[in-house]
Amino acid sequence: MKLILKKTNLSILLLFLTSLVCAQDNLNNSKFKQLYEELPTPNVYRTASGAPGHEYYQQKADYEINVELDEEKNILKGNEIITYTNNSPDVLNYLWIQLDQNVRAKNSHGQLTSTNSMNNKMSFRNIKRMHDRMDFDGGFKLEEVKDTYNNDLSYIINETMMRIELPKSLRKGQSFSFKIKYSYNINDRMKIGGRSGYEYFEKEGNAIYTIAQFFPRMAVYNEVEGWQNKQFLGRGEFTLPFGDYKVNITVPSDHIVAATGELKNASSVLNKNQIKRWEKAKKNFIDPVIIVSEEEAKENEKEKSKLKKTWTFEAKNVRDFGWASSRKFIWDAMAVDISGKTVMAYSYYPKEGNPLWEQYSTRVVAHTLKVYSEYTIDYIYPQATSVHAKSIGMEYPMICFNFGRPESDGTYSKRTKYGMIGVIIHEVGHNFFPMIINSDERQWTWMDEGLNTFVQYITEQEFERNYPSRRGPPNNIVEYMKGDKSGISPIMTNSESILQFGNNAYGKPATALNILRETVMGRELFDYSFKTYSERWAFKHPTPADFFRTMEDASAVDLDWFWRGWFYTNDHVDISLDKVNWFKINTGNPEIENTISKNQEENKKRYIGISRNKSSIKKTITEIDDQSIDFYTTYDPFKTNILDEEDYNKYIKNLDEDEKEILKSEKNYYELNFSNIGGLVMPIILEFTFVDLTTEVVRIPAEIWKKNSNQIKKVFILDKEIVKVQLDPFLETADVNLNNNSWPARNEPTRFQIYKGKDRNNENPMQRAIRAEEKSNE
Amino acid sequence: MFKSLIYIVLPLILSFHDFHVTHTTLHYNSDLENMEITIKVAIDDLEASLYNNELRIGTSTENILSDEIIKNYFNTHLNIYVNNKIINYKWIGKEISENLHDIYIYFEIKNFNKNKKLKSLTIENTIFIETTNNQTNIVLIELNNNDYNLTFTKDLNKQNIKLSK
Ligand SMILES: [Zn+2]
Repeated sequence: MKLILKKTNLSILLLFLTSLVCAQDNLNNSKFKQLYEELPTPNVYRTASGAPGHEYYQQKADYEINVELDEEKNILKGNEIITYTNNSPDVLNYLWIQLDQNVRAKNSHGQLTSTNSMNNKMSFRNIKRMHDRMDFDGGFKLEEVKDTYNNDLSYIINETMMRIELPKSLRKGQSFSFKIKYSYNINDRMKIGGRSGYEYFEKEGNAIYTIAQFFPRMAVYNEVEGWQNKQFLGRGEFTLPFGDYKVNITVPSDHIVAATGELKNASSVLNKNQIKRWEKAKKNFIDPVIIVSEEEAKENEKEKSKLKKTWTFEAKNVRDFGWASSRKFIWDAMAVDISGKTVMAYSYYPKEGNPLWEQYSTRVVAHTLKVYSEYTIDYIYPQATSVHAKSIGMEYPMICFNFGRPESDGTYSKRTKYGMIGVIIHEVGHNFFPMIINSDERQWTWMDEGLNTFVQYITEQEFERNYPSRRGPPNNIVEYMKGDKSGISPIMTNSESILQFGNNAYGKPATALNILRETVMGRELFDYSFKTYSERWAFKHPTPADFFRTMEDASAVDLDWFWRGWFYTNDHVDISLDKVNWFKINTGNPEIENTISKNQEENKKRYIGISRNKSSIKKTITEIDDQSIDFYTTYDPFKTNILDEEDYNKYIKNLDEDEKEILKSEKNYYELNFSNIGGLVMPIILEFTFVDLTTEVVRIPAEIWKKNSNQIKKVFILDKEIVKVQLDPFLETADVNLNNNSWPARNEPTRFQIYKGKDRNNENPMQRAIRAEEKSNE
Repeated sequence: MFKSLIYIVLPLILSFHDFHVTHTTLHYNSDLENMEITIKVAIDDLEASLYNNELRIGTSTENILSDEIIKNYFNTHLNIYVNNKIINYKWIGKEISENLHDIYIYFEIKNFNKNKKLKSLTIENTIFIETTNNQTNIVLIELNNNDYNLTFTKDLNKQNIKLSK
C-alpha cells in the first residue's frame, strides 16, 4: 500500500531514519573509525585482546635499605643495596636510577621549568614561598655508588635521573647488585610543599615526618618506552618496577613508625601492652582497637628521647616504599576480611586529628579495601595504612598520607569531614591503581588517577547514601568541558603537558567511565570488563591500549568511538533536539479526512484584518445580492461527494489484512530531528510524556550517529499523542546545554536564577541548628 | 611580620586536589536586562587568599563579616568595563556547592545593556593570582545568543571582548 503520511503543518514527506552521509573530504573522518592508527600494533608482549602476550616480561628490583632520621637537623641518611634482574630479551649495558629528591635541588629543571612571574598583586606569602623554595638545599647527596665488591661504579647524573655503567653487560635472566650511600635534607612541606617531608608543630617542637621518594629507585625498562627516564618535574608521578623490600628505619626511640609492608621486630620496638592490643586488633573485624592511645601519645610528645630504635619492615612484590614517623602518633587498627583472608587496616594520627580520625580513618580504610576488592581484585597485601598529614593526599604501597584536620577546639565543618573521608578512600584506592595495576604515571596520569577516582566515586556512594562526591557524576564535568578549548587538552596527553590537571586527569576520565557503566555498556558488561582489566594487569605494567582493548574484548561492545571522542579529543557533548514533526496516517476516508482538513483550515493563523472584518463588515455584496453568486461562491472543498466515497471503497478493497490493521491502529508518527553541536557522539536518551501524563523512556545507542555525526532524524511510532519530549532526562551524558534538550522548548533556570529565587536567610545550616538548639534549651 | 607568613599553608603538590581553577559565568538575562554573575571558586583557595580574615566558611564559627570580605575581594579582582568604564555590581549571595568543595558567589549588574549602549566589554580578572603561581581563571560570557570563552592567567589578566553584531 501507499503509506500516506500527513504532517500537522507541512505536507512534505521526509526521509525515514537517518538521512545519508553529507559532504566529506576524501579521508575517513568518521567518529566511528576504528583506532588502528592511534593504538600500537599488537605483539607478543601485548595482545590485540588487551591481555599480556605470551612473551610478556617485566624487570625486577629488590631493595635492602637502611635509613636513619636526624630530627635535630632534619636530615635523612641512608644506604641501600639494589638487586636488579633483567627479564627482558635485551642486553643492557647501563641502568637508569631515579633521584626524585633532586627536583628540590637548587636550579633543578623542576624549578627552572615551572613558569612563574612577578606582578604587583603578589602576596608576601607567595614571595616568601618563592624564597623558601629557591633557598632550600634539597636533592640527594651521593656519597658512594659501588658494586658489591666495593668497586666504584661510573655514573652520570642528569637532573633526576642517574645512569650507572654496568661493568659487564646484563643479559636475560641475569641480576646485578650495587650499593648507594646517600643523604638529603628533608623539606618542611608546610613551607615549600612536596608530597613528602615534615610538618613542624612549633608550640611543642615536634614534627610528623611523612617520608617518601627517600631512596634512589630503579626506573622501568620495557618494550613500550625502553627506559622510562623522562625527568621528574614535579607533576607526572612515578613509574616503578616491582620487587621485594627489606627496610631498617632508625628513629628516636620514642617515635612510632608506620610503613609499607610488615613490621618484623615488633618485640624490640613496641611495649608488651601495645603488642597485646595489636594482637587483639587482628581478631577484631567490627571496629578499630586503639594500640597507642591519645593519652599515651600526649605523654610521649612531652619529652624527647636521645636514644634511637630501629624498626624493620619487609614487603613483597611492591613497587615502592613509604613511611611516617613521629612521637605524636596515636595508632589504631582493625581486621578486614577480604575473601576469607585477614588484612589489617591501620591509622596513625596526632591528637590534632581527633575527634575525626579515631572515628573515621580506619573504618574508611577497611571499607575502601572491601569495595575496591569487589570491583577490581582482592587486596592481597597484608595491610593498608592511613597517616594524618595536613593539606596533602599522597599514596604509596600499603601506606598513604591524608589531610583532614579539625579546628583546634575539636569542631569541624562538613567539608572537612567529607574531604577527609574522600581523600582516604582515594589514597587507599591508589593501592589498586597504580600500586598493583602498575601503569606508567609519568606518562599517563589518567590511568591511575582517572580509574581510581571512578572507583572512589562508587566507594563514596557505598559509604553513605548521596555522599557529596566531587567527581564522577556527569553533570559535575559540564562546566569544564564546555570551557574555552584552548584551555582543555585531550585525556591522552602526557602528564606534564596537561592543562587543568584535576579536571583532565581525574574528573573527565572518572566521568567517562561512569557514563560507560551507566549509559553505554550497562553495569553488568562494564563491571565484568573492568574487573578483567584489573585481573589481567595486576602486578604488571598496563598501557592505555591494554585498557581500551580489554574493555571491548570482555564485553563485545565496540567502544572505539567512545575512546576516540572522550580520550583523544577535547570535544564536548551538546546534542540538540531541534524539531519534532507529528504525522498520522491518512485514513483515506473522505468523511474523516475532510473534517480534519476543515478544522485545520479554520484554526489556521490569520491576518488580523480578516478577523476584524468579520464583525466590522456587516454584509458583503454576495450576502446581499443573490445575483452575484455562482458555483465557486458556495463550493465547499471539504464536502464529501459520492465519487469520493467510491474512490475510498476501492482503496480499502485493495488493501491486504496487515495494511488494514495499520490503518485501523491510528498510530502517531513522530519524527525527531537532532543535531550534534558539541562534537561528541553519544547515546540518545528520550523521555516522552503523553497526553495522559504517562511517560516512556527510549534509549538509542550512539551508533545512531554512524552515518552522519552532525544531524539525524528518527521516527517513533506511538499509540498516544505526546505533549513533551525530554532529551537526556536523567543527566547521564554530560550534555553541556540543557536549553536545547526539550520539546516544547524550555529554558532551564541557571544556578544564579535558582539561588536568587529561593527564600533565604543568611544563616548556614549549622548556625541555624545551633540557634535552634539554644532556643530549645531556653 | 615574616613569622606570620611562615605559618601559612599552601602545598606545592597535591596528588588529590587541587589545581587552582576558577569559573566565572556572566549570563545576560535579556528579559530582565540584568547581567547575572556566578563565580565558582574552591573554598580552600578562597580561604588561602584571604588568610588574614579567617573566614571559616561553612563552619559554625564563620566570620560574620565573610560576605562583606568576599564582596570586597571580588570587587577588586574581577573588574568589568563597559564602554571603557568600570561598573559596579551588586552582591546577591553565596552558596556552598553540593560536593562541599567549592563556593558559588553571585553578583548582579542591573540594566546592563540600558538603551542598547553596550559597545565594548572588557574583563580584568586577577582572582587568586597573588596567591598561586599557576592560577587559571576561566570566564564564560553568555550575551544574547553569543558565547565568549576566555582564559585568564597571571600574565594575561585583562581581555577585551569583540562583540559580535
Ligand atoms: Zn590520586
